[in-house]
Amino acid sequence: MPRPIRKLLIANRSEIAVRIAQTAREMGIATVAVYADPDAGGEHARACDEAVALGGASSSESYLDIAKLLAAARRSGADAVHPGYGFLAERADFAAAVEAAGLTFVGPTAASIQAMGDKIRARSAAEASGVPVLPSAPVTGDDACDRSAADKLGFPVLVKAAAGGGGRGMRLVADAAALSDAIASAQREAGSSFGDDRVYLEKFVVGPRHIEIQVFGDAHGHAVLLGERECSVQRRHQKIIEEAPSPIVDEAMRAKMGGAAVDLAASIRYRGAGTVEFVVAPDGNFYFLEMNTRLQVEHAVTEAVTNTDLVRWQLEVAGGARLPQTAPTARGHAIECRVCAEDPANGFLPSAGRVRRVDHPRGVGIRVDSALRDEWNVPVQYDSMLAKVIAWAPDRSQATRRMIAALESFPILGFTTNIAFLLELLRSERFARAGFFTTTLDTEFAAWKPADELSFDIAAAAVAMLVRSGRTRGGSAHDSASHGGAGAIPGPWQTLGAWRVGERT
Amino acid sequence: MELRFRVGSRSVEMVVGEHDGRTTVTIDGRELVLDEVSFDDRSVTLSIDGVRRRVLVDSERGHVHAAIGGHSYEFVPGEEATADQDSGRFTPEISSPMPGKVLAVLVGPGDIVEPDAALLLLEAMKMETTVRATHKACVVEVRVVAGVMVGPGDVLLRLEEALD
Repeated sequence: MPRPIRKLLIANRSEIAVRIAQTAREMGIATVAVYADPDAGGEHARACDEAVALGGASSSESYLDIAKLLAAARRSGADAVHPGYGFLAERADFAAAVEAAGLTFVGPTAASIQAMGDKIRARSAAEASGVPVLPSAPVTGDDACDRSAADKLGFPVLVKAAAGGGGRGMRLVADAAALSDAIASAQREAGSSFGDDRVYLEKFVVGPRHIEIQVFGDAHGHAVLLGERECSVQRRHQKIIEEAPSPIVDEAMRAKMGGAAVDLAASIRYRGAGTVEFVVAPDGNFYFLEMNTRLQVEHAVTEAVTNTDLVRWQLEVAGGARLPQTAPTARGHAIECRVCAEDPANGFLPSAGRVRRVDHPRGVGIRVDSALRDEWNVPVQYDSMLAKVIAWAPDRSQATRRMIAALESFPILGFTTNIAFLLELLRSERFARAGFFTTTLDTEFAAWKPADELSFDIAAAAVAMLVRSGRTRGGSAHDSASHGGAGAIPGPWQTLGAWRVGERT
Repeated sequence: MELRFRVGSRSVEMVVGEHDGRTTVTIDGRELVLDEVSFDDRSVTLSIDGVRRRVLVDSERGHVHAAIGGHSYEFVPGEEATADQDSGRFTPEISSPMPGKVLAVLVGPGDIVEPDAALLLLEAMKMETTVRATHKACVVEVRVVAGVMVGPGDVLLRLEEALD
């Protein structure tokens, strides 16, 4: 029997754990953080009323260790567990273990997670409830057989992992010659990523957009539709800019897509926050991609346009509450940018390290979900996303300008982030006309280099002023600099220029 | 006053001067006129052409870090830029391009590697990166083993150029 939650263990880290804790706190729910060794002293542990050390550094020794998480819940007296996104959020065995321990799992039932987690089963469920799906074929393992199946679908085809997600175990195949290698490598990657090497073939849409529908179900069989999100700005299947509503979806298409998503949710009596993802072809036809049975990273754009708090809904629904009978109406436009510790000018290599100083953007219509602070060492063990910036405005062009201004005032001192890259995308004519396909960044921006000389010159001038004023720490910048190089203090950073030798462009 | 720094793989020369009572900074020949300069404990604020811009700064051991508009730069005093792949020159030390974990070392001392040969696999933030040779070379020393954590710039292995 559902009961209102009194103490919530958040089985996650970083910005999403902080964000969940904020809503829980507002609702009068006590919060318990868990943290791995590299996250000791991290912002998410500070944001909760209690914090339990999990030990270990890797995800598998900490945020993915079900036994440790359940022990932490028991020890702290939590009566519910929120999985956040990623990690165990879509693991049916975790949901089942939480419920078996007598705790409330903030999310759908284990059966729903299982039904949607297997992409092949999810496709069948979608098909059965009348949601359009792309033509597909099973992989048999027999080369000739697979080749003729792919020919029948028509190249290009996608090889996809049955247990897939995040682009892993996925290969785009342009012609028959590349098929068997692509299948073999997708199977290997799927096996190592998901412990399940089943793959299948799917027709590839040329000029694809990614548009997804937010649905929400309660335990009483009622489902609410919260509109779509446009997530076509992706790099290697990772979204980096999301918006709501989609600039290319009109009322008729919205009604059709929303209807399909809600039908699918209702067909499995879906409970909690869920997202039905579609690939949209240039002709406006849309096809079921997958259903994510959790809160999405980009849920905040939906919150901004619908004026809701989806984490509050999750916690209320998990406690047995009913959802409102009418869906909230959307207003205005929201854009989210994912700020990542990646160097876009350097093949998007991870660039984590110590945040020496950080200033977060503020202002009307700006929301920042972040776990950054001065002197925080960003661990290399986990995801590269550092923070999300969400800009809301009455219309899309104003939201874009607001986002640009916000990102311009988000200096992160210590390592390179993708902010300069995000800014260039936002300022582009292509973004203004909503002209991104999910493949655009990988084909047209792969060799991107920053062209922002003015920022460099201003930074350089500031450094010159700082040195002249004698305000630099550690002495010798002034001396060594003005003497043209003699006496510079040797440090580990001096070898930094040499690394590129080993890296292929 | 003249200043010289290395920033990543580029060298930068600056000249600080005065013009009509205002401070000027010439950066590799490009002149900025500063209407106003102010400091606090974490930033330098410059006013240029009527627009005020705040730059976050920090310094350590003479190195100055500065961040603005999504960029974070490290100014290393008084150095020529070191050779990098753009110069096409052979460099004997292979350093880590990023903080992360060594997943696998694919070569051993004495091995002759061809240009583009995979030397090591690194992992950080769930992304795998292959470190490759740019020149034909002989592996002289391997300084890391699979499983260790490395920082950016840490030397991973040493090579000696091998001629055909």
